[in-house]
Amino acid sequence: MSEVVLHCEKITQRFSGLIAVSDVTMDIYQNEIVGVIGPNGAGKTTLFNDITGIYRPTEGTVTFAGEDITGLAPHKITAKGMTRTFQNIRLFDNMMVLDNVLVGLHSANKASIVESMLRLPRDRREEKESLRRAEEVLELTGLYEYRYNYANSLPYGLQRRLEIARALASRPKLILLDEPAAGMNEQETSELLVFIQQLKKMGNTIILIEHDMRLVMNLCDRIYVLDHGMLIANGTPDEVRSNPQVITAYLGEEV
Amino acid sequence: MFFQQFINGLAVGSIYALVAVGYSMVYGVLKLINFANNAFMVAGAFLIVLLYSWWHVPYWLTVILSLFLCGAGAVFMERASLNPIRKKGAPGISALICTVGYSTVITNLLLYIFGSQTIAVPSFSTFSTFTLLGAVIDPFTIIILATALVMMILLTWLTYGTKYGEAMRAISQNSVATQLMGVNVNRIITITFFIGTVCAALSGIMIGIYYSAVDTTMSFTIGIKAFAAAILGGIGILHGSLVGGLVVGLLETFVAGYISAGYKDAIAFVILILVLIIRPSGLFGKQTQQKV
Repeated sequence: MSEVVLHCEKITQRFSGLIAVSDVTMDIYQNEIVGVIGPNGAGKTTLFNDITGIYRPTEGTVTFAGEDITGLAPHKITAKGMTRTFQNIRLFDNMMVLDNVLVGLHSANKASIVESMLRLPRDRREEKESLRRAEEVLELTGLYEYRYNYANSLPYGLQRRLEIARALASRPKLILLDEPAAGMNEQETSELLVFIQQLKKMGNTIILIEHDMRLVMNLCDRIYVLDHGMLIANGTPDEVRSNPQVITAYLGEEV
Repeated sequence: MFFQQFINGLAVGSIYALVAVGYSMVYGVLKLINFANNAFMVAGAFLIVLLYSWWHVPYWLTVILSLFLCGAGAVFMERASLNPIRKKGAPGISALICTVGYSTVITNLLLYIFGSQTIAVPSFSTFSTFTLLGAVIDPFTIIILATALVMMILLTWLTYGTKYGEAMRAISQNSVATQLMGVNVNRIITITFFIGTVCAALSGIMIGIYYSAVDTTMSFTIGIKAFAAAILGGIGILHGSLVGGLVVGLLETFVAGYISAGYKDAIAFVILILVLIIRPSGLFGKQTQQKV
């Protein structure tokens, strides 16, 4: 088996009495697509927030690329090579598509404020490289022709795609997608499926939260199922589909 | 007469504009009105008195130290108070009242050190006035105009031409997403406070030299007009602050010159209110339409 990219060890997240995530242990291997599913309120997004540093887990540890990152500030975790998208789109609406991608690339650049203001050699070199990479990513994601459009002028499906492009730009070791197909029509979802498969072929490692079962079952190598904050099953799509606990969680118990 | 008032208005307006930039920049990233901004403005002038008149530090160094100390003070306020308040997810109003608190503490500290009387602010040079188109012009007004213009160009370049400005604009649109793009949001906020406050302190110094006097009430009298200028131009928008400052400055001097010096503030504010009724988001603010 290939290398472990992300290891979550017994993660628990409490919010003043409410247990949102309870004792979750999971491993993500290189070049896998892993799905996290579960009914509404199962703690999926909270788990993402624990992993990406928006919350600090109450208990447990997150190990990323062999390094303990539990409780690190989000921008530091991003700098280590983990990026994400959001359930509700969080683009920079009043910026051009190109600038949306550049924000993420710029954060890795080293030029100081004085170097930037005077356009000194290091800043110029970094700017050139950022721009090249941003255009490359936009081409890869089919957004190149929209690069000078404002983000909020894109149709919905393309806005979702731009979020992924933005996450992809810094060549992350791991990408977390929070409900990438939310609000998409069937056509857009099928395009998304092909797109994410392409990302895998390019060597990316992806975790995704998703409600669209067809997408999850077709896309994921492995699936973790959460219910009431607890991990109730994990395995291949076929294993999960036939797991009685999963069926109960989704459909309710037989009366 | 007209030209004279025009030049005076421009000079005062440029000063308002620079203070307005201080409000505008912080508002741009945090959606917070930093009421300590006006206290730092007068502190800038008082520090010139302290360092130059009392301690005899070379003038150029006095200016640099004054700007730096005011900037550092604002950074302290952000790090020690505003940042912890934000982290705890408090409503914006808590941070706002915190800046009012800092403003009061700073002006009281200045009162304690310098007393309540008006104090003379020394200039770095004596200027002999000259006459142009029938107007008596103090060369220092030209320095004020030039300084304001240069600062505006620098700040516009910073905001729209560098990655730091891009990060500021990104934070103003979505702070969480910006952080998850790997941007150290707190660092950018600190930089913004520093630069905004340096602008305010710089204008404080120039007001002090222009009127050859400073007292703590200027924190309110000038501060409120600069704040009005920021709103008039469209708060959060840099060139809006410049235009807003100039409009308020010109309005005030023309009203004083042609109508009544005693009622200049009241009349200037009435006009301002009228403008805001017509354009509620300010001259350059985007008119937002609420979707139902």
